[in-house]
This record gives sequence, structure tokens and C-alpha cells, in this order.
Amino acid sequence: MAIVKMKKLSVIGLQEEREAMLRDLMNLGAVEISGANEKLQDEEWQKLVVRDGDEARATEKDKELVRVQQALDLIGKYGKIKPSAFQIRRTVTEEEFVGFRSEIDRYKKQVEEILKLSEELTQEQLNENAMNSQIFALNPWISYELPLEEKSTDRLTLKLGVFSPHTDVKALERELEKESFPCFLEEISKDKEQLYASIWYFKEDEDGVLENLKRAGLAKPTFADTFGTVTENIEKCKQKIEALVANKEQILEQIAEKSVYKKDLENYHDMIILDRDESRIRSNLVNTTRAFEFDGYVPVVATGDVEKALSKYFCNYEFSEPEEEDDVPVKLKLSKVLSPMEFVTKLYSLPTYREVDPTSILSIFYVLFFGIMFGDVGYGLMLIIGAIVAIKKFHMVEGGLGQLVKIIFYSGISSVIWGFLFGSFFGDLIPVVGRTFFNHEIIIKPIWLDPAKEPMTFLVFSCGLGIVHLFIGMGIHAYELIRERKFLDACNDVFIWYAIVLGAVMLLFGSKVSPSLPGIGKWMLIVGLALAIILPIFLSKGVGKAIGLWNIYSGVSGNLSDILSYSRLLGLGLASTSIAAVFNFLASMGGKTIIGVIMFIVIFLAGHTLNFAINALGAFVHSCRLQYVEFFGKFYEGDGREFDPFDRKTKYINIVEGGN
Amino acid sequence: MSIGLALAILGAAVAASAGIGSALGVGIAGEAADGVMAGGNTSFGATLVLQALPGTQGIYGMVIAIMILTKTGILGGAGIELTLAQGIALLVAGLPVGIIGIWSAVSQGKVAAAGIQLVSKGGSLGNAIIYAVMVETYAILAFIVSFLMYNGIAVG
Repeated sequence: MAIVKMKKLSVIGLQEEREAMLRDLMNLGAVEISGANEKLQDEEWQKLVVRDGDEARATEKDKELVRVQQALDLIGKYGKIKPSAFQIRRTVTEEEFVGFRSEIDRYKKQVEEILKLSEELTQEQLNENAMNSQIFALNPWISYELPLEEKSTDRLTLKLGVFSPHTDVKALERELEKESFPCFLEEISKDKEQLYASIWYFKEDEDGVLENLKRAGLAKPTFADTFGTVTENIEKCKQKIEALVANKEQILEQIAEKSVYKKDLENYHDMIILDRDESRIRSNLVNTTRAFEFDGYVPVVATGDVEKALSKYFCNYEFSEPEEEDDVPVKLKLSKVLSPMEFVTKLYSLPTYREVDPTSILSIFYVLFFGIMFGDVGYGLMLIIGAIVAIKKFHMVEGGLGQLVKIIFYSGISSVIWGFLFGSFFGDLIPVVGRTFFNHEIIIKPIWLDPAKEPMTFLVFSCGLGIVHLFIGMGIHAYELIRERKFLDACNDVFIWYAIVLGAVMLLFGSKVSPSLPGIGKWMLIVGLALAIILPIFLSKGVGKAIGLWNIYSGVSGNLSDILSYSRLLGLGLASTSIAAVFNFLASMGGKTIIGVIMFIVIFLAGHTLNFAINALGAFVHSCRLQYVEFFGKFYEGDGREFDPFDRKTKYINIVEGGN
Repeated sequence: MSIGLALAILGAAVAASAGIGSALGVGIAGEAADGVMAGGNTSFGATLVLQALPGTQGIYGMVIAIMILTKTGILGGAGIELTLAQGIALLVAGLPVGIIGIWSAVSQGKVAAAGIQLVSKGGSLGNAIIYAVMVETYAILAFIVSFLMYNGIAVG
């Protein structure tokens, strides 16, 4: 329910123990190592130390990682193992993992094998492409029956040439005749881009004829020089392609067979990740000739473990309280039920280390608002079932996706509850079906109210809920101000507005509850407004003293728009149920016939799918918006930096302690 | 058919015109989505969600339109003879969701298009959605106003 307290850690150790110590800290995964940059900017430090670092090795490991990933992708793509939709990490014990190291050579060979096959595959693909383009180039010549190596007789030369499609070859022939270059041009075929022709001429006229033809736009055919007729050549290419395709199939088969390497490669992949991270973290260390130094942050609860790990080494370490100006990383601590809601907070921004963590309050209102905006028993059940399927069948439990699934589950429960309160099951499905197909009026009474029948009551309820939400936000702001001993600011920013808003509400609506309320409200309002003018005189200096009037203007308009913004609870709630009702109505228009039933099912499915998708997204986003804009606007700064401990960021395997 | 009833139908037509805005808005966002998809590296799902956002105005409009048509008996019954005043009232009830729907959907489409750019450059989808949904607020308000008007008009 809060932000985890951190301690600052600084360690000085000996170079020869560096590697072992870093490895231990990585396995522990509780220390964020940082701070070299600040030190290296400090002149005093600059005289003593240089930056450690092994970027070269890290880069090399990165390259290897890319290769392994490629190999894994290949066997994933062509292998026969059916990929699971979502990644679950395999559990591997510490001992087994240490054992993997001795197999590095085997792993490397496996990667080599797979990548070699992939290269062969690419080569075959290139060859196939070349053949295909040869066929493409030969196709226009298909009616030309002479062998292609036939290029001359005793006195004549034969040439194949390409002209622009508008060329008139017979006219060209006559033109050449006139220039006393007798020749024979024959059009073989023509398409949109080109005209293909064969040309006969006397050997001694070569220069003259070619000069004339080039002027007319003669170009060489695009196929490669070859023997045999065009048809034979095309046939040959086709055969070659067949062989290439078969060969490709074979290579793919071979790659598929390599799927047995999958586990090995995954182990190798994660081993490289650990090696790389070890090399990379060193740029956060500073060195003297014999010693190294680093700073970091450790959660207070983990200091014992870190101490135990460090005491094995000959080193000096020190825990201290973070100072005011330190950029302390943030880790949220929430109960298991609420921890998924971290997702909503993070979508905006993490709190800073010294702020109040809003997640627990946000969770309650988030789920509440979602339910109001998407209050339908049917839709809620769909969300719940969807979330359960995602967890049980697809094991979506890790990371942000897992959190989102759990949020959807909670949201679904809330939707069902509000659905009962509003009396809505896929809109008014039950009464419509009863009326249309069974000639029976079924009346479903909402437990609380039907938003479409009593929108005004619901509007007041929405805004009232908004006031509660906003007041809690302002309360947190007051708490933070009081913690900093700024009592007057707390009054100015928060308490007088409690009085003004409550006073105004009592003045306007109080008469419905008790006749004395408007009177009390009036005085609260007057006192609040008076204080809003008076307090800035004590708080500010110079011109700021007169800021009270502006305060009232901006405060009134700000609070009013914030409160009215909660009317979206009514708007989206109405939208989801009334759109559902409209689709039910359209679906029922076929009446009590067979076609009517089919029509009902089709329109029902299509319409409700659309409505579900649009309004579930709408409820999610608008519920977030009410947190981010209205609630956070009252107190929240955000912009915290997430705690990023130096640990084993493995992708495929989860290394656990213990021998079984 | 009375003039009142004809005016009420006009009101439904005006409300459904919010679809103009949605068509334009979804179009604007769709063009942007096409553009960034050409570059690769962008999730189709993310762009689709953003493109769909300006679509809601059209639906709000359609809901009000169908509700007006149902109330007046054009849908699912014989048309009720409305007085001129009732007809004008129902026409006016269609105005907020229709007119504001058009403008807000176009603006939302522009924000969604910019959001698609944001996502394609590695920005957060969450932020892009929130920015676009800010615009939607006014369409929701218009829908509420139209609904309250519609709800308050007694016919028959």
C-alpha cells in the first residue's frame, strides 16, 4: 500500500573479487547499481577514479544474442512444435544452470548449424528468383522457334531486339531499305511496355544497320545468353525451379528437425543475457588500480540479505538514508489483490519516492467507475469468463499483460454487480425475448434504479460520487502539505474548498434532506469564500496578496468542471445499456418466425459484439481518465523512476534455488 | 402524417448525422494508420484501437435517432400524431448529439491520427488513447443533454 523504503548503498571492494561479488548481487537481484555518472562529473572523484566498463564484451554478447534469437525464431517458424500463444518461463534449478556452462561449445555448434541451413535456404531462394526472372524475360519470345545460339549464316546476321511498343517494324524496314541497307524485321510479340522482334541483315551492313536501329530505340533482350530454343529454355528453367523447390523443402525439413535444440538454445540465450548484463553493469562502477566502487539502492527489507552476501568478501560497504536531492527509484508495495492495479498507475506515471502512492484508492474507484459505465450482467460475465480463460488456458499471469487480465476480472465483477443494480442483462434482452417469442411480458425490476428512467437521480449520484473522489484526492494533498508543516497552504488549497463545495451543495440541494441544511450551507460558503480571499494575504508576497479573487474564480470553475466531468458515468452507463437495447429492438423486428429467430441471433451477436467492444474500451479509458485528470489533478505529481535491480533478466528460463 | 411527426423524424435524422463526423474522424485516423503501418514496427491492434475511437459519436447519434423513432412510433408501431410543438421539441433534442457529434468526431480523429504517429515512434498507447478520449467528453455531454431532452418530452 505504499512506496517501498530504500537505503542507499555504497561499496568499495577489491578488483580480484569484483566478478564473484557482482554475480552474487545479480543472483540476489535486490540492488540497483547506479551513480557512476554523477561521480565522474565531480572533480574530486575524477582525480581518483576512472570508469570501469566492458562495453566491447557486452556488444559482442549482444551480437551472439541476435544470432541465437535468429536460430530460435527459425525453429519456431518452421519447427513442428506448436507455439504457445504466450510465453511462460521454464523452471531450471541453480545446479542445472551451472551445468549448462560446460555445454557452450555444443550450443554454439547448434546455432551454427541452424544459421547455415538458413543461409542455404536464402541462396536457394535467390536462385529460384533468378530462374523466375529468366522465364519472365523469355516468355515474350515464346513464338520464336530458332535456337537462341543461332546468330548468323554465311552472309547474314540474326539479332533479337526490343523496341518501344509503338514502333512500326515494317516502316523501319522500308526506311533501312531506302538507305540501302536491305534487311528483314519481324515482330515476334508485343505487350504494353515493349515490342519484341528478330532482325536479319547482311554482315557487311552491320555498322549502318545498327546505327539506324539504335536511333529507332533498339535495345537488347533481358534474358541471359543461352542455348536451345526459347521453349526448351523455359522448360529447363521450370525444371530447375522444381528442383530448387524440392531442395528448399528439404532444407526446411532439416531446420524443422533442429527443433530438438529448442531447449538448449533457450538455455544458451539466457546464459548470454546474464553474461552481457554482467559486462554492461560494469559501466556503473568506478575503478582505481586495485579497488572498485559503486553506489546503489536497496529496499530496506532486503538490506539483511545484501549484507550477508557482501560480508563474504573483503570489502567496505555502507547503508545510508537517501538524501533530499537523491533520485531514489520507486518500487510499489501492494497486497496481492491490489497489485495488478499498479498497471493503471504506471500507465500514467509512477509516484516519486516522497509522494503518497495513490494506487490503493485509485483501485477502488477505478473498479467502481468501470462497473457504473459498463453495468450489465451479461457483459460483466463475458469479461469475467474472458479473464478466467486468459489465466487458466493461456497462462497470462506474468508482467503487464497478467496485471491487465486481473484488472479485467475485477472490472467484470463490478459490471455484474452494477448490472443487477440497474436490472440490465445484455440490455433488455429478457423482456424483449419474452415479448417477441413467447408472447409473455417479463418485467425485470432493477434492484436500485433504471438509469434510462431516472437519469436525473443518476446524474446527481454520479456527481456526488465525483465529489467524494475529488475530496479524497484533495485530502491526500492536504496530508502531504501538513507533513511538510504547511498548515496554511493546506487550508488554502484544500479545507476552504471543502467548505465552499460542501456549502454550495447543501445550499442548493440540502432542503431535500433537512430544512436547516441550506442555512448551514450558506454560512459554510460565506466563510470559505472569505478565507479564500484572506489567506493569500498571509501566504504570498507583493502582488500575490491580491490573488484571492483569482483563486475563487479558478477554484470555482475548476471544481465545477471537475465535478460535472463525472456526469460521464451517466453518459457511458446510458450509452452501453441503451445501445444494447437498440440492438435488441432491431433484432426482434423479424417477429416470431423462423427467419425472425435467425435474424434475431445474427443481429444480436453482431450488435452486442460491437457494443461490447466499444463500451468496454470506453469504460476502461474513461475510468482511467477520471483518475488521471480529475483525481490526480488534485495532488499527484508522478514522474517517479522505477526501481530496476541488477538481476537475472532471463527470457526463457526461470532459475530457482534448490536441488530438486 | 402530421407536421409534428415529420419534424420529429427530421430530429432523428439530425441526430444520426453525428455519423458524418465519425466517418470523417475514422477516415482521418485511418489514413494516419495506413501511413505508419507502411513503415512497419507498429502494432496493428494499437492503430486499430485509435482509429476506432472517433466512431462512438456516430453510435451515440444512432441511439438517439432510434429512440426518437421508437418514441414516435415510426419504428415498431403506427406513427403517433404529434403536435407541432412536440415535433419541434424532438427535433431540438436531436441537435446536440448531431451537431456536437460531427465536430467532436473530426477533432478526435485528428488527435487519434497524431496519437497513431506517437505510437509509431514508440510512445505509449495509453497516453495516445487518453488524449483522444479528452475530446470525446464533449460528445458524451451532448449525448447526455440530448437524452435528457428526449426523456423530458412527453408524447402520445
